[in-house]
Amino acid sequence: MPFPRALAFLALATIALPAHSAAQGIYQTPEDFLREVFAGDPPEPSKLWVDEKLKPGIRAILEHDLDVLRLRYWSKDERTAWILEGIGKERPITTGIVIQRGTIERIKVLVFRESRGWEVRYPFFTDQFTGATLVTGDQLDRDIDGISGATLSVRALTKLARLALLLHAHSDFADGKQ
Amino acid sequence: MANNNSPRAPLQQWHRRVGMTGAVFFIFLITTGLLLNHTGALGLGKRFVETRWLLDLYHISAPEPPVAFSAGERFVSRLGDRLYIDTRELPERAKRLIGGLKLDDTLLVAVPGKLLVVGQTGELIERIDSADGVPAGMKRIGLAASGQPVIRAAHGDYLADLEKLDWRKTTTADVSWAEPLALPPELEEKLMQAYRGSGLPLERVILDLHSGRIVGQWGVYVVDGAALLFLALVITGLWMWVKQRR
Repeated sequence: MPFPRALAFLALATIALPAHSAAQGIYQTPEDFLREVFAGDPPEPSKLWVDEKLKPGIRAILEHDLDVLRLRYWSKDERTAWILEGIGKERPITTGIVIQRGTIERIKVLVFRESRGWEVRYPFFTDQFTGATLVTGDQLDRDIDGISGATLSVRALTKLARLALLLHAHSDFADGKQ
Repeated sequence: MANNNSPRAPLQQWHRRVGMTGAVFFIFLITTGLLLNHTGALGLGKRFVETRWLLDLYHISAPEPPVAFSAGERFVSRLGDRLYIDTRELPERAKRLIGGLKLDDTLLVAVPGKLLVVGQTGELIERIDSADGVPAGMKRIGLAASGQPVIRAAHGDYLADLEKLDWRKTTTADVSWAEPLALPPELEEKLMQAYRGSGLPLERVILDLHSGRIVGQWGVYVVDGAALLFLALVITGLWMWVKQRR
């Protein structure tokens, strides 16, 4: 490789590397997310037991069982907030999801640990979920446009959105229960 | 019937002898190959070998004496990066076990960055981690006189309310800290066996049998030899068939 071209390559790599590393990390702590969602006053967490009624739905969405028997969520004024983790390619993506009356109010990537696919954190992607509900087969009522190069992260977030809606429907704060 | 005076006769005899000699190898390679082709359906990756001499052959042994804590009538322990309640493995790996204790009708297990709430029979109920506010740099866990869990972390001691996920700094000195202890010998032996018994999937053994690696590099050469014999049989078989047609 001629020297100037090698130099240009090195310079590009130097510029690209920090941008790539910066894409991984904590965008918002779950604590701050909950504070923001509940206007600075998050309620005490509630518990949802993963019972036999709930397990098949979870398995259908995640394609595996959850390895815990209990999940926490936060609820106030007909809204529930869930902090859920899903594996993109190899590492978990921590996501905050708010459900109001059976529809997704917002979804936000809080912690991203993968080396690729961080584009799912941007509103141009997450906004697609706003207003989504579950239809037959625990599917979303709409198609979610993918992102080239971030297929696994897109898939993980879509699964988490479906899971949050399913969990909300089984929570004490599901529509009609309270 | 072959004519012994024919120039093909020595080749035919060689073909027959090699075929007879190699038959055992071929059956063996075909059988193991078929098994490997259906690893998923047969669940070979999830079935583990417990035969001692095979585990010894693979040098699978427990890495070090277990680190253990008493939690009521149960023992919480770590062997390698695996965590156990008595001999039941938890679905969580950790390089360090900070402590374990009995909390009401559950067990509380502390590993770096996480608290695991476990049922009496070893089923994982819940993970509580930094997202839930677990103080950073956990060093010890214990119980206050009130029965509430206390966590010694990098920035001090915290009284934990696991219902509300509330962590309050405390200066109470009246804490009964979880202390590591030695496991009863019979439980330690069972744990070592359980550790070894989940280290060697059947798939690996069949793969190594198929490639010959199970007996080292010489086994690979033997399988290579069998493959070359098989190739020679195909060539000589085809050769004789072509000659016969002419």
